[in-house]
Amino acid sequence: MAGLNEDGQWIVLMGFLISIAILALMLIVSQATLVGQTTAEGVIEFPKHEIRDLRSEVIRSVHLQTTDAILEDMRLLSLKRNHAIVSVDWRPEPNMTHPMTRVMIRYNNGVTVYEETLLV
Amino acid sequence: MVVRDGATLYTIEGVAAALLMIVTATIVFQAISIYTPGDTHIDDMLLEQLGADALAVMDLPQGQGELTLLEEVVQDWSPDAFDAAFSPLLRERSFAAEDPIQYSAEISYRAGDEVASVTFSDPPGYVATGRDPAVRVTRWVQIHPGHSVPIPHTGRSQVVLLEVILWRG
Repeated sequence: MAGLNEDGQWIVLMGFLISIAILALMLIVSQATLVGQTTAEGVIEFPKHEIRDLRSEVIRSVHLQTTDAILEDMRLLSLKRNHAIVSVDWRPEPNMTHPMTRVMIRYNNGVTVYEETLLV
Repeated sequence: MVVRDGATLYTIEGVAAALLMIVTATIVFQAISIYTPGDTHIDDMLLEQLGADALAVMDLPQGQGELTLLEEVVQDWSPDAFDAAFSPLLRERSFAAEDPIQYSAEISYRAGDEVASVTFSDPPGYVATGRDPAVRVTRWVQIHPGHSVPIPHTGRSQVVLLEVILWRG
């Protein structure tokens, strides 16, 4: 066909490319929301500070006169306020050169389980 | 037919320019990070870490065999001393205005088989908007007979839980 002007092809092509680019970006954004949510929950739920604090407090407490009452304080407060089951067993360790105490700490908040046995 | 190749150079230039534009666009788009609702955990984590660190700093013994500052302020029940030590640790920044972090502290204790709480420190004059997402940090504190904490006296050393709620106001 004589005299057909084809300059408009470029504009149509560019519009097509831009629409594909926007579609691709939209897919990335919509996935980021879903992925981020799971990661956020996993990271926030992990009780790092709680476990470290519990551990140091138990180690400090086993040589006191009223260890049983203090451990009961920590068990009940953990259960009611931190929603975690804490169980601490402790007994003197015989046959040691220096008198030592064997301590068993168990921590479970339904998501994270932590157990440790140590000599103090 | 006479074939002229004078336009070949223009074609090469066009291809080179196209590559250059694609590379530029790639770098620009990779530099963008889109903040989604799921990413708020980054801020929450930073705030939680900051609060836990501040409490840990206050829970260091002041000298060999001495009480920690945290035990001292709870034992003597002095929220003012707690605020004076805790709020600079949270808010002070280098070469910038103070970070407007708000907090509210509470002490939980065991009374028999029940758990009860008393307020230790509240942000003065803060009006909650209802849209203040908060994080919570806790710290065990040992108190000994003769303390001034307004809870029933047991006559023995006991452990109470200091709970701090942190948010940006």
